[in-house]
Parts: sequence; C-alpha cells; structure tokens
Amino acid sequence: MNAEDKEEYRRHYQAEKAEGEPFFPYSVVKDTLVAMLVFLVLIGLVVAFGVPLESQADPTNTAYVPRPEWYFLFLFELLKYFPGELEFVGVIGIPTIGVLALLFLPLLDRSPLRHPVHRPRTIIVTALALVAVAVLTARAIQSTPAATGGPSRTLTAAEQAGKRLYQAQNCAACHSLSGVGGTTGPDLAGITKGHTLDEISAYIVNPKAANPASIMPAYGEKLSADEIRQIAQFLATTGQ
Amino acid sequence: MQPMREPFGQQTRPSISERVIDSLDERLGVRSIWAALMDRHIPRSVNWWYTLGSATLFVFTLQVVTGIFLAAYYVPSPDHAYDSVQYIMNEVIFGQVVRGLHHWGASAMVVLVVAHMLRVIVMGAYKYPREFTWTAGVFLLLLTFGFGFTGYLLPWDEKAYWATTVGTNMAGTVPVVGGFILRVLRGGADLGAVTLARFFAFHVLLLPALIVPLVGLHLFMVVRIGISGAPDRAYEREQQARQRGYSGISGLPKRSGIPKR
Repeated sequence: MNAEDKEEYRRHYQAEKAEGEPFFPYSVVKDTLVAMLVFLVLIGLVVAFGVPLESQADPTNTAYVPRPEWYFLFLFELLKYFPGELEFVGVIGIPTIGVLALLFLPLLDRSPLRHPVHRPRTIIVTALALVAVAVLTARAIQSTPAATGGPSRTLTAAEQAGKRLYQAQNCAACHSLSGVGGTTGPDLAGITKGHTLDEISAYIVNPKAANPASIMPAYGEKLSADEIRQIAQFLATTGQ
Repeated sequence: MQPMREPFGQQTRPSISERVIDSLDERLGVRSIWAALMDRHIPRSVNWWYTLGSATLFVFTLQVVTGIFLAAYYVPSPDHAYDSVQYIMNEVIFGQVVRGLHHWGASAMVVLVVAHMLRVIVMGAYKYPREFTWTAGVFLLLLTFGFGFTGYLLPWDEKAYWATTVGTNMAGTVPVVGGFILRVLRGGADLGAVTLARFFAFHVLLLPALIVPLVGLHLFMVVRIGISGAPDRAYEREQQARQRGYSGISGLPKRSGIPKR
C-alpha cells in the first residue's frame, strides 16, 4: 500500500469509528455471552465424554498403535506420502512453507482491497489449504485401527508370555521394536511378515545356523521350545 | 468520565467508592485507562465473528487457572506422573472437572485460534495498519501447538508415551540437525524421565514465559490501532472506480497505487 492508500484507509477508518459505538458495553456483552457459551460447551464435553486416561505408559508395549492428538493428525497422515529419505519434506518442508506463508501474508497480499470477493487468490489458497487439512485428517481417522482410543488389543496368553520373555531376556538391549530399543540388532517389528513362526523360532534357537555372520547368542539351551515359540508369537503382534 | 456526585441529599462529600476511584486515578490514572480500553469506539460493522479473539483469550485464561490447579498436584516423573493424575481424577474434589476443562480446553484453543485466524484472513484484517498484530498472532498459533504437543505427554499414559515417541521421531528425520533436535527434545537418545521433566518445564515455564508477553503485545496493538471494521464492498468498488478514472485522464501521471486486480 502506498502513502495515499494508507491515508485513505485512515480517513475511512476514522469515519467508521466516529459513527461507531463504545467497546463497553456493546462488544463486552457479545464477548461475555460467547465466553459463557464456550464455557458451557466445555462443561458439556466434560460431562458427556469425561476425560480420557489410558493405562500407564509401557515402553515395551510395542503392539500399541500411536496416534497424535487430533489437531496433529493431518501432519501424521501427510508423512505417509513421503516415505523413507523424503520424510523430512513432509516433516519440515511443507509445514515450514505453510508457516512462512502465514507469517508473510501481509507481504504476499498487498492490495488495499479487503473484501473477500476482491481477493480471490488469498481466499482460494486458504480454502485449498483448509480442504487439504480436512481431507488428511479424515483419512487419518479412517485409517485408525479399531483398537486405538482405548487400550491396545489384549494379547493372548501365549503372546503375553512371549512379551514377558522378551522383557526378561532383555531382547531390547540389542533389538528395537518400531524404533524403541537397542540398535545392535535389526528392528523386529513386523519381522513375521517375511518369515514364518517356525523360521523365527529356529533363528532364536541358533542364529548362526541361518546366518553365520550373526553375533546374536543362541537361546536354544536357555529357553524351552515352547518359550521360544511364545516369543515368536509375541513378535507377530508387533509392527502392524 | 467525570466523578459523579450525589444528585440530591445533604451529602456533598463524595461517596466511599468515588473517593477510592479518585485516589486510584490520582496515582494510576485508572480513568484514562478505562477510557482507552472501554470507551474506545468500534465500527458498527463489527459483528459476532469478532468475538472469536476474546473467546480464545477466555479459554487461555481458563487454561492458566486449571493448569495452576493441576500443577499443584502433578508430579513430573515417570514413577509418579500417572499416579498423580489418577489422584487428581479420583481423590481431589472437582479434580475430574478441572482436568476435563484443561483437556477439552486445549482442543478448544486450537479450534478458536484457527477460527479467529480464518476470520482475519476472510476480512483482510491483517492489512495496514495491523500487519504486526497478525505476525504476533501467527506466533501465538505456533505457541498454542507447542502447548498441545508438550502437554500431551504429561499424563504419562500409553497414548501420551507413544504419541510423543512418534512425534519426536519425526524431528529426527530432519537432515543434518535432526539427531541434535531429537536429543534436545528427549534429553537423551530415548524417551524417559528427562523427557518428561523437560516437557513439563517447556509446558509450564518456557512456553508461558513466551506466550504471556506475546498475548500482551497482541492485545496492546488491538487496542492501540483499533478493531478493523468488516470490509465494505460498495465502498471498495467506488474507490477502485475513482482510482481508475483518475489514471485514465490523459496528461496525468499514472498512479502507482492502482490495485492489480
């Protein structure tokens, strides 16, 4: 905006103000009513839905499907379109562009016109961004497995036993599950997708038989065949 | 505002409340503060959409009050965090309501801040002379998300732990500095006691120290500059026509301020 446009705006605004009404009580009444309405809605949400508290955090519960809060779901969904090395484009690139566009909006849209019909570019871009966020959020909600929101799926007795063994044998010292745990060995989440339970069990019994380069200790003498099978069954519940 | 006198009766002395206000006015200038805040005129085109900002301020205040209450009982350590939240829920009088308000208030903050921002975008209210009010508002939006992200971990339940694991993992994917950011956020390689203490410190010390002055600046600019009126389409069309006519006269230099559209 040039000096003349600024001057024109100031003149127009002063005229608007001159025939306006005082903030108190006119705006104060509206603001108070809306604040009361918001408060009632919040109380209503507390009464109707309570306040969620799941079971205590369990860093070994790798069967848990993590979900961010609803207002971060669109970001979470966005990442699915940028797999592997490109992940940072979704994590940092797109959000940074969005934030910069917002910060510099007064520089991007410099015409002195304010009515939305005179600013189609700004309005259309905003609408498209809103639609994108809404679609991403909806897709994230759709892809939410049924088990989330409440406690994760209850494990069967055998899977439960396998989980206890996984903890007791300190498998997590070398292995991670979905990124949580040690880094000496490979991440085991979803390992049963490529191997049968028998293959996994045999590997735990004697890793060198399948992979001579493996530095993993053999568990064939420490654990019974049943116990090893239970660990494999527990692993099958991970990485879904 | 003139000090009011009793219209009738023998009493010519000012009432107690008047004397209190008088003495405060002498020392603090409360009358001119009242005049600047409450007697300022606002355009008649200001409508119900303009309540979104003050509704956000209301919920923010509610978050502060309920947050202080929760902090009085909450223990930011993995051994006690969950138990202290359960204690708030089950033992503390109105604890469930206060935590409920804080929990739903967080979502309300996001909804209201975004709605307020959309109102400002649609009405073009970020334009001259309110550009910095807008910039401060964008930072307030980011801080609101920061509060949401750090507050989510504090109950230390499954949802909190795993959402934060995934959330901080995302930061680790940034090229070059990702690993550093990840360690700063978690206070180590893994999510644990230090992470919880750190998120608590961010949530109740760092972010409030940033947001309170920024809210003050935002409101100062709103009061100082004045609330924008709703854009007037007829006036703008007239203005455009005037400017076009102006530049169309031969012999006169073309005006530089002609709108591009």
